[in-house]
Amino acid sequence: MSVKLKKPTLFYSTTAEVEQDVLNHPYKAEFLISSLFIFIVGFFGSQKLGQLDLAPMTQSVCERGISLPLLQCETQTLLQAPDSANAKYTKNSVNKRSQRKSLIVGMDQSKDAPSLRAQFSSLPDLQTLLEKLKWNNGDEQDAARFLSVITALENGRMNEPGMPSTASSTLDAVWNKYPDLVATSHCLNCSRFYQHILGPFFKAGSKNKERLKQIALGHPRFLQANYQSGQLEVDDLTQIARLQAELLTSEDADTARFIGDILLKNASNGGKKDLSLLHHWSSKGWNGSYAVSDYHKMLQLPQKLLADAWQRGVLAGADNAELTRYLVSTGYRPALRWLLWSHASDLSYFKNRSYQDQIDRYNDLILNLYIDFPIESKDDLTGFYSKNWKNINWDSSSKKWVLKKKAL
Amino acid sequence: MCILKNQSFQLFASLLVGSILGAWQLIPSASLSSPPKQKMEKRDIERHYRNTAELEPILSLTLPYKNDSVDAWYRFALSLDDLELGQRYDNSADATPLLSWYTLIAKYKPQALYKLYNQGKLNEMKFNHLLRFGYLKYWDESIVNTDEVLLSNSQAVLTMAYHKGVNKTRVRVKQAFFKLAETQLGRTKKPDLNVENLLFAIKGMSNEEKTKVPELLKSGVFSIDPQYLYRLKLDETFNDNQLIVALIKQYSEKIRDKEKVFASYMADGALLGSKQYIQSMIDNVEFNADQRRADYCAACGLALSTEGLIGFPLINASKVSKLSLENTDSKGAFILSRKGAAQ
Repeated sequence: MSVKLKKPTLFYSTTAEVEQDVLNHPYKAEFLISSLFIFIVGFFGSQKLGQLDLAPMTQSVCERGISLPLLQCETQTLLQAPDSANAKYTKNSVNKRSQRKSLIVGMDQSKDAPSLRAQFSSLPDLQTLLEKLKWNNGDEQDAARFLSVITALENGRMNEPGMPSTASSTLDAVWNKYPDLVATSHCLNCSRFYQHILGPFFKAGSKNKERLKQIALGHPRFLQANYQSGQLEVDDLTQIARLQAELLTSEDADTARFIGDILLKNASNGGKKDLSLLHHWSSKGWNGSYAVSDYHKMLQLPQKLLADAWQRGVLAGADNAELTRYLVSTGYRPALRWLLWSHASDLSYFKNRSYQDQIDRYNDLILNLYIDFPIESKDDLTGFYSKNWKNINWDSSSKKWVLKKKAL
Repeated sequence: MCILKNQSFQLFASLLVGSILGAWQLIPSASLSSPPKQKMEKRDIERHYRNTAELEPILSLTLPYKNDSVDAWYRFALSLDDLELGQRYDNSADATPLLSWYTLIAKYKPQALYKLYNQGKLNEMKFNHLLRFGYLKYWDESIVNTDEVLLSNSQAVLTMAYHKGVNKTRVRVKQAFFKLAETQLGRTKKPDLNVENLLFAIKGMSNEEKTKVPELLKSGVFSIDPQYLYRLKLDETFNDNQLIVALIKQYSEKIRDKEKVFASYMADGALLGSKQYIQSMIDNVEFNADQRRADYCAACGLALSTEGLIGFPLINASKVSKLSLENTDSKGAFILSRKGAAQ
């Protein structure tokens, strides 16, 4: 079979022609393999070349002010003297400007480029944005700059998904060197900063133990986290917890319990239990009642203390379901009234607030555990109680609220 | 020959194409012209821009030398207010991105911050923030209005108590209380009194001093948030419920709170035996129920302080003015019933 060769041409007009030509070629297999091999060598070879550490070379080029296509001098803006636009912010500065490494990578920081604010604003999400920040392992001022930039960028993206937990890994390295700066860089209650960043950092501890010990004083959360990291002596812990109980407020259930435990443990005063500080602590703030709401604690404490703690939670919109349950189950009448009001009065107030979470939990208390009223449905609860309240009493033998006349 | 030429050419072309494709992959990550991963709406970009601070000035911030004058540091601290921080927050807000700079000033030249504070140019939020993280430990030695701070700021008292001793601090707060009570009488600007600070100070008072406290509170020399007056009941000095109710009425009189968002003191008053506040809560119960966020829950207050009618039977009776409010039962709760109903 003769082979008719086509005139060599640079371009084939159709795919069919290519296939035909290749198939008809006497060395088609070898040729195909060779082409493929050469293609792969070219493809990966060029990538390998690109991965070589060219940083020293590019830095040298940048420092000489040489401009090359595709080469960005990232440190350009930060190394140059402040321009007129920001000169006023540094007019008081007398530090010799050191050779700072850039904190921002992959952004155009040349003179004619749009502002960093504009460039960052165009990035799609916080994660991408944080990828452009790189801690340069610099001095405290660099840390302050870095942290300020992160907060500024977060502020621009407030309420976006991933806020602010994505910043955690970015801040990790800074925390190791300057824990106090990371700690103070955000307001404590902003963007769940504590929950996602500061709390885990504190719990993990730090090289700067003395500094963290000082910070423990400032807030019950810090005290708890420092204690958990094993960096706090028991004496310090007790002294600080007592002071915080007197002067500060619990802002979450967890720390309320933590301080409550310390106060209860140290309540013995010369053989006599002094619960005044625990009473003080558990009856303030949204979450104070959580200090006393563990079942084993409730059994040790007087009803007056428990009722005051519970009452404050109810009035502040953060009722404590464990305390409600305990008080209802021990014949405390205001707790029963509250249960019926919140569960059966159908006021929008109870739907809009944190009460809603508890109301679902109360279903069982009302319908099965502690109430035994002859009613058709729970909708009749408030009507039934309003009519019969004088004859509704706690029956200690059945451990239920029942309709019966009190024996005279 | 022709075949070989063609083959060489095609092999070379393969190498070229492979190299170009390989190299091309390296370019976009570094290139500024690479498009964003997701398509962004123009209005999102504008919103981000509006709410983001100018970053170049922040990156250019440089502290004065450690041994520079307080004035140099003070000027630096003042200059922070000039930075453009976007529309959402300015430098006075909790979320200012400049907190770490205030930290460095507090660390190296706290006097600069005391100067700002004394001039009213460092707000309470930043002051407390720095105290909370262990800075400005000896604030009482450099701040001019120490007495006012001792009465109003719990964080500051906590810091002082830890570093200078608890008993010494109780005495210091007590002195501030009596001193300001005397000197402020008749003045228009009343110092703020935080009830927690007062309770802290009372533990450092003699019995004679304690007896003076209720009268001084009644004299109205201080400004007190009535929401926290219920806390006084924790100290035996205030074992008279009527006294606390009277104070709640006195300190809530001038509050402009049409929405009654912060009227939680009504429930406190009712629990301490005030019939007036029961009536107010009955009047508010439905209106108050629609508030999305409030520190005052009239229904909760009624549930705790009244017996008899509850829920909608109570609300319905009050609408047709058929509600009767009687004195308290043996447990201290007011009894609510329908007028004319058999008791």
